[in-house]
Amino acid sequence: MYVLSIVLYLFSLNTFATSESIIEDRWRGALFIQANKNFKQDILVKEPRGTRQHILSVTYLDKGFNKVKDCLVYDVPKKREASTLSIITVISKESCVDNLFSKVSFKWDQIFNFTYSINDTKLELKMDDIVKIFNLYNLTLRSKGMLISFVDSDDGEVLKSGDICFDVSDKCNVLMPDQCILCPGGIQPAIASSCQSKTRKYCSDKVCGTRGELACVRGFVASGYQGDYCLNDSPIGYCSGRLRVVCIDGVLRCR
Amino acid sequence: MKNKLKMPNSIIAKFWPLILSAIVLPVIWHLWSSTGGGDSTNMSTATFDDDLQVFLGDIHENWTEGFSQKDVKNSSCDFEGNEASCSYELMSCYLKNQLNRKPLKLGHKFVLVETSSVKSNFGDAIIQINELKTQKNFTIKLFNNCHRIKLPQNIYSSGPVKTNELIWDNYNQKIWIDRFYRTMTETSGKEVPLLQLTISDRIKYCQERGGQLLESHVFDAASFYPSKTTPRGTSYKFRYPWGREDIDFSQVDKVLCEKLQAKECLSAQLIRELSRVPTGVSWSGIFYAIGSYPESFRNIINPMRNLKVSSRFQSFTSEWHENGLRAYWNGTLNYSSGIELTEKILKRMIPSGEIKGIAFRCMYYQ
Repeated sequence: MYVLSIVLYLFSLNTFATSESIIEDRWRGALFIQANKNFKQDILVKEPRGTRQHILSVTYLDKGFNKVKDCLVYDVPKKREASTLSIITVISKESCVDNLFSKVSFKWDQIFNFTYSINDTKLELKMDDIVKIFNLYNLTLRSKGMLISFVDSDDGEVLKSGDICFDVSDKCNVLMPDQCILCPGGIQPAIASSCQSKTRKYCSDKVCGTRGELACVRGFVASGYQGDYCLNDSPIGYCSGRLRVVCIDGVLRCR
Repeated sequence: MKNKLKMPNSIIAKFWPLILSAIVLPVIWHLWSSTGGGDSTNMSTATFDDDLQVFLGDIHENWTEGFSQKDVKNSSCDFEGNEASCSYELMSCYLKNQLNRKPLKLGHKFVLVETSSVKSNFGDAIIQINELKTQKNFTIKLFNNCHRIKLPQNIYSSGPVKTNELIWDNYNQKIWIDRFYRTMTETSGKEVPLLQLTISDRIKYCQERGGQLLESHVFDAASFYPSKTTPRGTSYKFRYPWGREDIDFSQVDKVLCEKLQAKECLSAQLIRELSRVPTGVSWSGIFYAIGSYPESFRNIINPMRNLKVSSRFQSFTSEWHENGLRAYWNGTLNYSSGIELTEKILKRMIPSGEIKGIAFRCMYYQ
């Protein structure tokens, strides 16, 4: 019986390895990773004890090059005890924090210490003395005009015209990672913050400068203007003919 | 109780090699497989990624740089041989025939399962690959953007020399421009400019490819040789797109016609010499910035300035051969009544030869 249980345990570990290879495959097609800023890279996750925490999310591509999201959640141990790192798959626009206790699709057990690191080519999950390395391709391929997917299904989230596909704050912090490469048609930049180096972008087949549409971008540098961007007749944007630039819900438009 | 659980010494003594091997062998097997032994998942993953990177590098190189004529000739592919980049047909051929492929050190074999494209998808190619050793399937999407240039980030001034129609910058936006005119390649396979489309069809054409009809001020940005521009204006605007120097029109030859394809370049010999040479290259890398065909744009600031007239329909002496000059085209195919040859900023009429076709290109935000 003792021998049988060992064999069964080891068999389950190997089955487990197969599942892990599925994770490896789908994360090869990661488009971007968003880490919870409360947990810095290469620093052990120790707090808050006895809670389940969202560590990061991996947004990867399905066969149709649409988005799917895996949330990585960690049960921070109360004291010196083994814990669990789990993957929860959600619809990409859903929040990981809202899905902390949703169905787990994969997990690593018996972890006493956990941290992670990310760069453009790999994600490393560091569990005690084991480092799981996940190779990431799309983070570099996308700049070369290529994307890759290892997922067989095509039921991911589809971007549509009018969706925001990239967004930044007034201080140029990225609010939404750039996914405009997935837009079904064109892209339009929009002045929606005071950031001078980046703009919000929409998936859009419309052109700027016409009635009701986004104002065209003149730019902060060319206008020489340093004040609040969000005002009627803002010099940061321009419109066709006699249309005026107006600021509606923080976005410069033409009216 | 303890005695009940205790295993009889005689059984252990009798079967100890079997028991030991039953415990140790699975442990060794597991450790061996998890550290990448044999053809197990982890080992093949490590080597798979090495070979995959080489394979993807190969695909990217051939997609963006094209193939050599030699490779194409040696293949059994049936298409009009050229070494064009971003060619779906050539990429399919490459994958089917294993052309021009770098050897994979770790023995993986990437095989084409299916390719799909194209016209419904802006000319992007989607290819499905199977790796025989690991039986992994994956899909690659290749974007059809080989024939575009990225407009360098700067402050730009649009409009003719000595004027500023619009001063704008692209420090917070990435703009890509077609290097060439849009051609009939997609419909007839011929690299002949698409000339007979109304303005609304041009707008639709570019929209269907994820872009929009090139804006007049963006064309100026890609045409005017860069000079210092501030919010108040440009210090100096150069007349020609290739740089600072002017042009000597006295000797009509291939060199001159490569810079500016005007009426005098249409002699039989020069046409032959220039047949596969894109002309009128600007500092930014776009072609036909001057000469060749008239070109239509969208002009947000001044919709009455939407046509570059400089073309092969005028002689070298025409005043239209200069950066930033625009006429108005009403967008219909009746050129004789639909074109107004008054430069609205300079407020003067500049005559032109008969216009027999108007080209266009698209621009794209990234």
